[in-house]
Amino acid sequence: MSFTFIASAADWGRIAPELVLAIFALLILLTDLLLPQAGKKGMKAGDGGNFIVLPVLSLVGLAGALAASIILFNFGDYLPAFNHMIGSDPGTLYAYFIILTASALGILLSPAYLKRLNLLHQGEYYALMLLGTVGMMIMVAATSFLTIFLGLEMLSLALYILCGFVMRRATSRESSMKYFLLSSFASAILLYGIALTYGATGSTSFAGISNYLLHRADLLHLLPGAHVPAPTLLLIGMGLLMVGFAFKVSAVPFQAWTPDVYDGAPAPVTAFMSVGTKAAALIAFARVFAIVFAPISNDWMPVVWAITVLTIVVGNILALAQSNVKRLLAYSSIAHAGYLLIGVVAGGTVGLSAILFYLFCYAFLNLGAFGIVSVLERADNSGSNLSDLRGLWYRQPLLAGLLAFFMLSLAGFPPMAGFAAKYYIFYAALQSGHPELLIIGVLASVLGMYYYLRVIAAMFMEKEAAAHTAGVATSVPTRPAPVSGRRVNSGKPGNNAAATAVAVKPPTAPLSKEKTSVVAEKALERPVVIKGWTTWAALGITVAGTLLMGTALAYWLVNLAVYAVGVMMRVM
Amino acid sequence: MFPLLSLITFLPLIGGIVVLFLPRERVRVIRWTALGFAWADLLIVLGLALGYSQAVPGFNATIVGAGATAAYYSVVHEQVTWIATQGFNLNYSMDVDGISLLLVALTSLLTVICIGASFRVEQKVKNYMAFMLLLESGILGVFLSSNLFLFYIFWELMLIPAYFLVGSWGGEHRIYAAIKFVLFTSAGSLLMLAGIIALGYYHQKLAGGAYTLDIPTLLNGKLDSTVQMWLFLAFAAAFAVKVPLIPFHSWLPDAYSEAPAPVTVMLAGAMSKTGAYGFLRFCIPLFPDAARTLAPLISTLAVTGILYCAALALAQVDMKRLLAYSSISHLGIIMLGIFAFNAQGIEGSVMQMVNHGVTIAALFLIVGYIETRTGTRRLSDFGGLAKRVPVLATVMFIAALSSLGLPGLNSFAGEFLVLLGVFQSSVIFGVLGTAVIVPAAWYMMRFFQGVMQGPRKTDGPVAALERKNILSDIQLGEFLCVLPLLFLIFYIGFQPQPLIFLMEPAVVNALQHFASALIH
Repeated sequence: MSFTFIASAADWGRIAPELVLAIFALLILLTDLLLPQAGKKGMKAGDGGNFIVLPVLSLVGLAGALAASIILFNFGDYLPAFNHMIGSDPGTLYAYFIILTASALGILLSPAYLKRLNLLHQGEYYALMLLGTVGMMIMVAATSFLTIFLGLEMLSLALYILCGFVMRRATSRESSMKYFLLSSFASAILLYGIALTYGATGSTSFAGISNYLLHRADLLHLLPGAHVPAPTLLLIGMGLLMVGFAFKVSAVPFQAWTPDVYDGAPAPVTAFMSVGTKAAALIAFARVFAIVFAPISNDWMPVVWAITVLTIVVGNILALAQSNVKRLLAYSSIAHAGYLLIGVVAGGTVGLSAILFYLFCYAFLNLGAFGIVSVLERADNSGSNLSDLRGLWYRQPLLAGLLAFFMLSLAGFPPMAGFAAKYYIFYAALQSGHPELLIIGVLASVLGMYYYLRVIAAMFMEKEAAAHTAGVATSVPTRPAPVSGRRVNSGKPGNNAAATAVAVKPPTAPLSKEKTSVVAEKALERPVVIKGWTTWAALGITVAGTLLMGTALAYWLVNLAVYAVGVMMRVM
Repeated sequence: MFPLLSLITFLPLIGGIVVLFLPRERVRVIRWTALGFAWADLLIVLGLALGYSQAVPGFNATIVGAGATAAYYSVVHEQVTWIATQGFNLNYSMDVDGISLLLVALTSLLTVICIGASFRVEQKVKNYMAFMLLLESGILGVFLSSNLFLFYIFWELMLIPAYFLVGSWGGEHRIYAAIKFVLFTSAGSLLMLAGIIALGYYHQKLAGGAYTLDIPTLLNGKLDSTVQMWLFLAFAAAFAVKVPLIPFHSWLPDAYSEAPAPVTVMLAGAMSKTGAYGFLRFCIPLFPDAARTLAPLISTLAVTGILYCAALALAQVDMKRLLAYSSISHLGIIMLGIFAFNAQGIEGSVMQMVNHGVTIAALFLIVGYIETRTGTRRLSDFGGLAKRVPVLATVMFIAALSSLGLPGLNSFAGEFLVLLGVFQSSVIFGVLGTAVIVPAAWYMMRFFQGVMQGPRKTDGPVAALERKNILSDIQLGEFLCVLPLLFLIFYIGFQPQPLIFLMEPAVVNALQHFASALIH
């Protein structure tokens, strides 16, 4: 192995999308310093200078990265860069499109949310969003285990901070801490897996490992094609790798962190990470197992198959019991991870292109759904309970209609994107000789129908109970008192705990009951509306994307994915 | 060529979108716009029927597919290539033949009636009308599409508005009913989706070429019998829930009784026919061997449903549930006819689909009228109402007689043909199917007599209304809604020939295809 590698200009060109984004992340940090500091109290709703510059800058960065990806897609040489460390093949670039879409939509959802929650540290927020995006892109582009780990850590570190961004909210801090602890544990396991795999195969690059696996027979001086059992060291390494990846895609049984993290994190961040992390981890998972370890698929297939089935079934079943839309979407994202894993089991061009297409569709569906949640969410993380949504249709027909639209498309109703995605991935299952996954997936989708439609039932069919609002003064304890971010805000982190304490035992409430109920009424009165052109733009794009990907664009994108995967498997 | 079928299918959808953009307060405008779109669609369908009937005698219509084995005998054929790649070939194609034409006409007629009958709806009128029109679009698309992918899209499209209509405007237990309805239906249709994916895959493996879901192409492939069996079961799951066949029926009484009366009319009159249509149009021609093997099973389920639900109807205390069970029983007869595999059976079944749509629509509308007057549907609350509401009683009497199959009214012609066909193929099923006439007459007369005749009630909500003298007879608008149905009840009863004339070539074609597909 040669260690005298000199990076050429072409290498830098091949990672242009990441470079552009990283540069813009730094630019954002610098710009943030130049912007006038509003101070703690100066921020009033309405003086929005600060809330526009940085998101626009990050959108420009994303557009630049997208343009770079498109140019590479059309004119690039698709070769791996930096001594087989990072790829620039069409499959990778297709994955960039998905991640950049998720990131752009997440950023579009952010300004109105940050403004509403009075979160001032935007420089960090947008820079971390972009750096997280870069991490995801590096992870999907990786053609070496070291690069995978680099990308994984980069995206994780950014997301740890973003999850805890609403500092005055206990659930947000909890989300951040939980994600940090569990995820670093998973990263460590992955790293251990990488080490063992390196020990077994003598290489960390995919090309090297693949070469070893294909020529094992020669190395052992056996007849070509003779069955050689994989070395135990490699088996253990693969197992550990699988754990690491399964954690990141939130596959059962490594899913426990997902609902808490998704629930506590700010909704735009949840929206972004639910698609971005999933895309990054799944594509890396698929690349490592369905391509690199494909020669020894007999050894890992049963385990991935079991994980897939478990994830589909358990994810759907657990979602049934949720009464909060944000948690419900978290469990639904576990279930969707299960459907996506079908693509890994199926493997081959069809399986991998099904993953890519599914993720692209899912980016629009899920960001749309979480976009609505971000509009609904209050400072103390309430507002997306089914009880809050009751009768939403009578108050906010548009909001209810949009959420219903995304729920239906997540449930897989045609002609929306969710249907096309499911159709293709089920087709991949059948084509690779796994009809049982088709049947299991289809039957589990019935469960999905139930919980998605229950949200719709709450919004459209349950009448808004008049007693519900009228009884607030007395019935505050029935749920955490919504604290209006503007009135009672930062500096007193105990506030939420106090409000929750009210909820649990009203008699010993430290806050006067009167005050709490006034605040609660204020919060209830505040109409939940879609604010800001960025939010409108995000929702418009997701709706249009959901419809177009299901109808007009579906086959073009599938073809593109098939082409991309074909080249990816060739050049790896 | 002018896309007539697409126009028919999508006109209500466009109407629904237009309605959504009308101002919320202009309720009258919304109602009349919706009704106008429904009428326009009906008129176009009638024009199509006229054109079709002109084309039939010369047999100069295009037969879609290869040779005489195609099951489609279509006058108007639309095909637009949607996606064509070397591996994947998907067309947007629509066809109409006699069978689908009759059901399309029924659906568009019922939509006009239902929208007319929904003028009473006060709450969220705009969305109600939009969903109603969307529902029509979905059902029409199911009857007209000749590509399985397109068919599935419409099949699911029909479910969404039905879910909202039952769940948002229904009675007390509407949410339970709506969710149960959707879960049953989507369990079936997702299995069908698996079947559709697999059918395309196996066909591609068998015939080579691109992955296609065009029905005329699929009809030419001869799958081996095991695959046929599984695929038949997958498709049958969806259709059996919609019909419904007996073990899959428990959603129906809830949905029918909780939905507002006009929606029930759409569900019972038009939507339930999609299930029977699916068996006739997809299950049997696509999987003929499996259909023949499983015919005894399906016929047994149908006969069980016929008798069991007739017995259940006898025991109901709620008028809508009574009609719901009678509806299952009647659809059993339709299924029995389809699986007799002969011309009389299938022609009778198709005719009975139309008849049942007409009759059950009239009955549910009348129950709706009674419910809006009295606020109750319990049979025991009623008695001797005919004195107060003589015209309503007469209308109800005619509809009830039609439902129990009185000679001279519409159902008789259809049921007679069906039973004739069934006796030819199996005497046992024939005898058992015929036996339903007794309980059918019984529960219908119990229904009519219980409400309109017998002693007047002295207490209860109806008696209170009677004392206040505010129980009005049928109003002009209400009467206009049932009038076309009454006309059809008599017209088809006296003159069933035009229906047979329209459907005969299609039925003959389907049977020929079935016969030729079996021998190999």
